[in-house]
Amino acid sequence: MDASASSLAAASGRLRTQEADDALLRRWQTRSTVWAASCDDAGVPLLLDAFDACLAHVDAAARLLVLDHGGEAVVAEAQRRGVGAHVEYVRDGAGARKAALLAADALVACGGTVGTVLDALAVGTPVTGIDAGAAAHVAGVAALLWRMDDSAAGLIACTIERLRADASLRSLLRARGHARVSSLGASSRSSA
Amino acid sequence: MNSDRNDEQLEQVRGEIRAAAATLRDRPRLPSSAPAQASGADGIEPARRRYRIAELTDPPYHAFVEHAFRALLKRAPTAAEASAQLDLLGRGASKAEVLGNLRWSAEGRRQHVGVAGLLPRYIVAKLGRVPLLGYLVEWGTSLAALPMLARQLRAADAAISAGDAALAARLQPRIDELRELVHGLGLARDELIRSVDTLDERLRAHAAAAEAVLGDLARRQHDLEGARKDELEFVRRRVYVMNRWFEALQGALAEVESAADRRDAGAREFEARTRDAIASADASRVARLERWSDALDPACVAGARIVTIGDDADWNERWVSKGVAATPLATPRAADAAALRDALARIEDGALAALAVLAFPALLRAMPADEFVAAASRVLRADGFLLIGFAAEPVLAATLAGDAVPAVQPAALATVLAAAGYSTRRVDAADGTPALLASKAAR
Repeated sequence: MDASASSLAAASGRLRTQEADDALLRRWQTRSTVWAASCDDAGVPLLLDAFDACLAHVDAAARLLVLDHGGEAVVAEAQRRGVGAHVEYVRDGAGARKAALLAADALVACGGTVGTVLDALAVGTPVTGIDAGAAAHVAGVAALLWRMDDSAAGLIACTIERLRADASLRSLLRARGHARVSSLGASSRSSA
Repeated sequence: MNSDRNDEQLEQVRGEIRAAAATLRDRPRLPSSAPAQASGADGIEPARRRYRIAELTDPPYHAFVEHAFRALLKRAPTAAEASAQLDLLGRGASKAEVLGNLRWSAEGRRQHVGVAGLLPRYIVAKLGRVPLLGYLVEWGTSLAALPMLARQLRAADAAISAGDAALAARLQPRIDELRELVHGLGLARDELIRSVDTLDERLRAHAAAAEAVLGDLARRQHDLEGARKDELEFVRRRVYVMNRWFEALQGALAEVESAADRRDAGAREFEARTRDAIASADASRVARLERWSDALDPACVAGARIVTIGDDADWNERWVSKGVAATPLATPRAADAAALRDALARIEDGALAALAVLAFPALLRAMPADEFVAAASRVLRADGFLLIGFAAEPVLAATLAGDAVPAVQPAALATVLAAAGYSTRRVDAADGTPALLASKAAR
């Protein structure tokens, strides 16, 4: 097999992989609310309280895509609460995670990992959640974060409702997210 | 300014969200609903219970496995599960067999999703796995499917041709870009080669110049080494000549010193003989020595020490007979100054009762008056005497031997002694030979 045939085969493989990711994106992109979520064990109750509030008062057909490790705990808790059909654990590779972030109206960070928040900022997905932990520190002013108290669940649900309705707010957070990722990349290069 | 406006906007949004959240619980509770399904998606949803087999077999490879899991098991496959099914496809299994495996697995039977047309295909696929019978079944199904396979082959050929054309249309711009890139790289490579050639020429020129400089330096070094060798040979010859010259000079000086020693010894011998002859002919010498020894008697009792500078054996014998320890120091010539200083330096401080010089002018040949007076002050006891005579016979002998003897008057010497703290009195002999008796003790 010559080099051009090999390159053609590699390109074909990439196209097929991209096709599978596109299928996921098509499946998750609906007219209803889609949440992507990154949370640690402590953030699971708040995340599901917020999602319950969304299902009860904002959008009964909403879908929650859990991205980080520990998503099984979220799915188990959701099934215990009777909303398991709305919750899905995205355990595939980077392509599926990217598809979930592109399909979501926002990433909800309740603890969670820095990498997921950075991915969301990079692909232009707005970030909301709790102002605590390293993930919130990384998001900084590019996210709409709330203090963790009794009103946090409702605030998160209403934030995503507002993001779905407000295109200018989405574009503002998207621009801040890109700037945040650029500044973090520049600071890491200078410190290196 | 823009950032401030954005912050204000965000603060306003936050306020509105807080207001909305405060009233969220007041909204009517929505009826329960299934999760929204994507509009215009591939038609496979988790909640769907019936499928046509073509819906599941159409997607290729990864998407096929993904859709099969989501449709039949209502969940996404794990990485290991997806890899196992893809391996099965890679070993030649049909999609119907993969779908049947999932559908009639334990998990698939629990989900109980219906797929129209799957069962007969799955049975045929499984029969194909039975030894011998499977072979016949494969033959039969293949023969029966030949017309359809031919039609599908033609369709596939058309699809591949269409795909090739579409792929070529999509790839052509990239190919053109790559050709341009290759062309640009070729130009850059040519430019780089020219730059390297130019650099190579410059380096060669520098290397040639450096070699020329090194050759010149080598020649100079060779010349310098030759010149250095010549100079070293010249210096070596000169040192050899100087060494010979110094040896000759040393021999000449030794001869001169030997001649001087012989001459000095002759002069000393002549001087001694002349002095002894004059002294033996001098009838007043005994009376003169008597007069001077009497002057010293108060200090020179038995056991005392007296040192006399001069060759006066009868004088010393006189003191020895009185029990005085008399020590003679030979009359010095000019060359004996160091020996006289050494002899005086060996006498302990304040050890002498008397120090006598019977012919003081002859002493002046070897030692000046002030140095002699200082030495006498050190070696004499506090009550000791210094006798300084001006006898003529040693002076005459030295003069006859050709040695110049300075003239000195007793009065002048008395002045020097007074300046050194001595009191003096004249103890001239009866024949008129002058002498000074000096002491530091009050008289």
